[in-house]
Amino acid sequence: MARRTVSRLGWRYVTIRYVVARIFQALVTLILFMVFIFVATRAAGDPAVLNLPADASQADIAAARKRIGTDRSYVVQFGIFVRDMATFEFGRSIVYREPVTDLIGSRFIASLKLQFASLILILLTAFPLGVLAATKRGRLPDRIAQVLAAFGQAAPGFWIGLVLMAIFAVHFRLLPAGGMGTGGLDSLQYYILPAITTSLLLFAGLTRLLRSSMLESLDAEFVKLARAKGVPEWKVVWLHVFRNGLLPVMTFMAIWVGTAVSGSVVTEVVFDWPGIGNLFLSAIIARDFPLIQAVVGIVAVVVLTANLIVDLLYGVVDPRIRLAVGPMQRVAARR
Amino acid sequence: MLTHQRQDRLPGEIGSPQRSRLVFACIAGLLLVVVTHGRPTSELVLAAQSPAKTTDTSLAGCPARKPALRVAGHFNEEFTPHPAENRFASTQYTRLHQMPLFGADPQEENVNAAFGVAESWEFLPGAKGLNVTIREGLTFNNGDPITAEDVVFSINLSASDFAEDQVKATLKGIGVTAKVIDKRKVRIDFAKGAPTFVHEMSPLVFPIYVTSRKYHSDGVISQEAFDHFRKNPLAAGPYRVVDRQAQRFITLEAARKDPLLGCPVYSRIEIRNIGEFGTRFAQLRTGQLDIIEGSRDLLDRATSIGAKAATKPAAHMIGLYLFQTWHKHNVFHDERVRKAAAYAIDHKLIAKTIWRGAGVTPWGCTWPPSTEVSTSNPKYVEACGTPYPYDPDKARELLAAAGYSASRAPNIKLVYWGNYPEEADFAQAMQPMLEKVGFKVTIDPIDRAEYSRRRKSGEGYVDSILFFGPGGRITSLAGSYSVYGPTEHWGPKHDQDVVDALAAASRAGSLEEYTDATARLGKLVHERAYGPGFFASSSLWFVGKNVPDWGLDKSRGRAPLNLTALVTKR
Amino acid sequence: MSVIERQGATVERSTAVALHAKLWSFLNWENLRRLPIFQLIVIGLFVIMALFGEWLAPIDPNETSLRARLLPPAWMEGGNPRYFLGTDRLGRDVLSRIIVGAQPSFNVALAALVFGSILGSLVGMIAGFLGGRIDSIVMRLADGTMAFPLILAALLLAAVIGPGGPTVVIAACIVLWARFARLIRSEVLSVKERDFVKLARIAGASNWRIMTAHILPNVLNSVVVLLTLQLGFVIILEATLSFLGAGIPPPTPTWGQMVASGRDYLETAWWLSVFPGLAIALVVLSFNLLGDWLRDHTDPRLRQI
Repeated sequence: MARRTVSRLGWRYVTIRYVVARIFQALVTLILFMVFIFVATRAAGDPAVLNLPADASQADIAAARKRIGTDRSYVVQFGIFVRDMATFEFGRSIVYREPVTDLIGSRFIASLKLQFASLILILLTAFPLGVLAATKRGRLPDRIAQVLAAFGQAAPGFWIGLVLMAIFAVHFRLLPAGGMGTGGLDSLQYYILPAITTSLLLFAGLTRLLRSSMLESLDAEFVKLARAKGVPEWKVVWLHVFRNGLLPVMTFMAIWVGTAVSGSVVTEVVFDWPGIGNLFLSAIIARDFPLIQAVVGIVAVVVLTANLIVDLLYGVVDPRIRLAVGPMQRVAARR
Repeated sequence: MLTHQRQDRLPGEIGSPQRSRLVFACIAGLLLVVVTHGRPTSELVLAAQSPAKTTDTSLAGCPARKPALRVAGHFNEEFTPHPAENRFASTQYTRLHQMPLFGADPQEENVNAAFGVAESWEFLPGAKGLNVTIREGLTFNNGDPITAEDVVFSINLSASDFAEDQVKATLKGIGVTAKVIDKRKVRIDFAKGAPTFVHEMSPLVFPIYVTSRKYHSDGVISQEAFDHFRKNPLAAGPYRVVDRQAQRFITLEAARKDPLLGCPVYSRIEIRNIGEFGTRFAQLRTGQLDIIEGSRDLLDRATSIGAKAATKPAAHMIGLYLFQTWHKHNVFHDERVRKAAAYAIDHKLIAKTIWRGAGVTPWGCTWPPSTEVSTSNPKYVEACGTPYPYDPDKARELLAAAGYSASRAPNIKLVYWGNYPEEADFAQAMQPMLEKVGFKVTIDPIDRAEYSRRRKSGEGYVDSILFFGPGGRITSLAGSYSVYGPTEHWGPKHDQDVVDALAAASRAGSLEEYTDATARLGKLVHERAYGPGFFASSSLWFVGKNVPDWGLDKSRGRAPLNLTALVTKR
Repeated sequence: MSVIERQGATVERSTAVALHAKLWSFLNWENLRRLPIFQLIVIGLFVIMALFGEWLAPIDPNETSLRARLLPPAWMEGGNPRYFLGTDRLGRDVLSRIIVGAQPSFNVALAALVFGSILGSLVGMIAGFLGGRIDSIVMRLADGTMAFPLILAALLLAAVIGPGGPTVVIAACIVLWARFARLIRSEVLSVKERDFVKLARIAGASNWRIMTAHILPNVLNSVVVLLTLQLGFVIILEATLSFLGAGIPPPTPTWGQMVASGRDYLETAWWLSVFPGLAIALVVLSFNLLGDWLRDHTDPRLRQI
């Protein structure tokens, strides 16, 4: 309440402080994440020993450690990791013998393409359904949305993927059974099944979220006021309520970005998608830690950046929010 | 899937030898190469000797090709076009675009000089080296002739730090040095006798391919040179690499009429890594793939949809390893307990059910494992051919004689670490069999990290039956020696007979001497139950209708698949 | 002053009364009639199987019978009445494995939920109550962990501590603590602003008393609701990690692992993955619907979760 009385100048000051504080917090979180990644990859076993023949001599192991860089102190290694993150040069994969940057570039793009397709799918389905469920609360569309969302959360993704493949690719021969195609318009068909599989889980979450946040807005004073003024119901729903219901969806998108960048490991494995998740699984098995560090590190940076951007956007879209309290929490707490 | 990686790390590799000597030899070899390379006459002479070279290798002389062959299996590898980086599992396609020094026939029934750069070879006394004669008139796909310098360079390349770990370890372990004698002769020296060298270095096991010294950054052996070659590979075969992505796929295209393998049959060959069986199978059925790595339980299903099954014998080997039997606290220190375990396992039933009886042979001794070379000696087959018969009563008696009872049962672990997909089933089938005769059994799946950790620890595998693939270097007893030798804390070093037999085999100067010695060792191992047998199972492939039978079942090579006979025609 | 005090007392009592009233209104005929009978039966069965599975299973779930592999369910051609839901590829009874497999699935879920909810609730309460910089940093961390792809973290964990129950539990906790912390924190914030808490503070109640007497009871509802909603998440996570090879290793049967290992047999021996899959779906769905129902009936405010 008190915020309303802050002068324009005061607002600017508050905003700048807000932005700086957010960036600072994001950096602190990033460092915490990096420590976690660093410790986890080191604790997973010495890659020098793992990738050499079982009875390699001490000299061979020492040479391999030197090549990989694990012969240095942890402090130096962490420093190198930080430098790698800053320059986006992650050294050489132990298993695949190529610079990590060469390995992951195209894989990230493939993952992003798939996630983008599933995002479009979600926007086309979850949004109308969520809105419908909220406006026809308790009636058939609401029930359908709830059951669908529940099913999306009740079956493991790999199983859904394999069943979809058995039905649409093998039985009806409508769609290809995995792969990404060779590019061009023709390869769009390769996106359909993996996109559906990926979006099912998100679909469930988003429908529920949209429904609840719209329900909240539907009860709000300004909506009642609009109705009292005789604004048509469709206008109320789409202009007033939906716009407000969109705020939590922005948060959702920030969370989604993490999945998008890392790809959905499960979908990529099932549909033989050349994404980063598929590669990550292999890297984990082989303890290929330059590769692991690069993938997880990049994902962490992207996730935190996305969170930061959404936070700042929130401040722009809805200045009423309590600045001391992150808008993310306010909304996400409802999920 | 985390556990289904095929690594084929073996107990049969050799530790690194005296590095300094090798480095010295490499330098010496390089110097020689540099010196001899200064003479342009050799190339001229070669060119003159094969005047029909350009028309000879053109694709125009070949019949029309089929469009594409698409293969998928679980190959988690870099799919490299670099001949010194290829793994033992990638021989199936590397051989199509690279020329091995020692050839094998396309079916991989045996070593055959007609299919390699080496026209003939001759062992030095005590198998301490080789004199190799290079075939005349061979070229790389860019038209450059293959020279003796290239051969020496390739050996150094394969033994370098940047080469694949196993081939490098093998070459270093034997202590290989090579030098040019004249333009058609190369001499290869070993630090210790290696009568199986040619077999091991042929496509049957782990081939050395011949790379152009000139093309490979003018003889530089460095990471940059490897990277450069990987990005712009030079082929020496009927096909060439046109596209690839590490961990994903490699694509070959018909390139030339090859002087050794002949004409390419397909215009394109795609080989991809698809770990998930369901996905592979679906793609076979939608026609996206032609050959897939199969699953035994779905054999009937595959044939019912019109696919054929093709097997490659002895591609997978799950051995039952008893390690550290010298350790006093190991229940398997007692011969009676070892034998009890051997009698308790119904090898035949396991073969019939877990492997569905398709292409699997139970063998009697775990090491030295059956190999291309040792099985050629009937003595070995006699010693190791049959596992212990299934006899639970006898097993119980033996356990009782060893002082165990129901209240004091021997606790053992069944340990596996993801070499072959059958392992989990296999352990779960063996557990009740062993418990029936009085063992107390826990199943203990581990991963590579844990495997290494236990291996480093002196008693990490006490009381354990470890499932293990004896993989790549199985033709060489030197490998077995490095694992079971008295200094390794790994095999029965307390048993002087075994130690002596190992030493005798590692001293062998000829193939015959060598196989005789392995047969004697096998007999000991079997009689004293140091290794209660293993299962040599074929790799199984489901093949689409339109792919002809290419006799895969004849192959004795180590890689899980062999495409050469299918995709080339002389 | 006295007015305020009295008001505070009234409000305090009124929350207690409200709680009781809530409980009572719970048990009236209207609600009983609409009790989610189906969900309760499924969950009851699940709990019974989890507790007494070993006694209930008709056959030892690890008993292999290599001669009776991949038998179809009893009612199908070739089925054996001994194996009601058929056998797997080692000839083990699918029904028995489902019954016994409820326990590890349940244990993992329970452990993850207990740790996750306690940790998350504590963090959320403290953050919400104290506010300020601590609140900011903690919640930022929660945002980050929630947005971070769970499967990547879980696989990394599996590499560090090996595949198995602990991996699944810790991986689930990574997400759960953040979810609980956020919910509880926002609850605390809204409760904190309510008049009865303000009044209690004015009346001189200590932080601890306010937390335990006023805030905790009001927050408990949401915790219970979130618990039921998240149980399914843990079971699914276990299944997914089994598929990727980082779940609970054999021979211990878990539902997720059964679905994962039966996936290649969808066409030839569908019963291997369909029955345990059905069990997962039923239990998860029941818990979700029960969660929804609880939410609607205990606290209308929470209907928007």
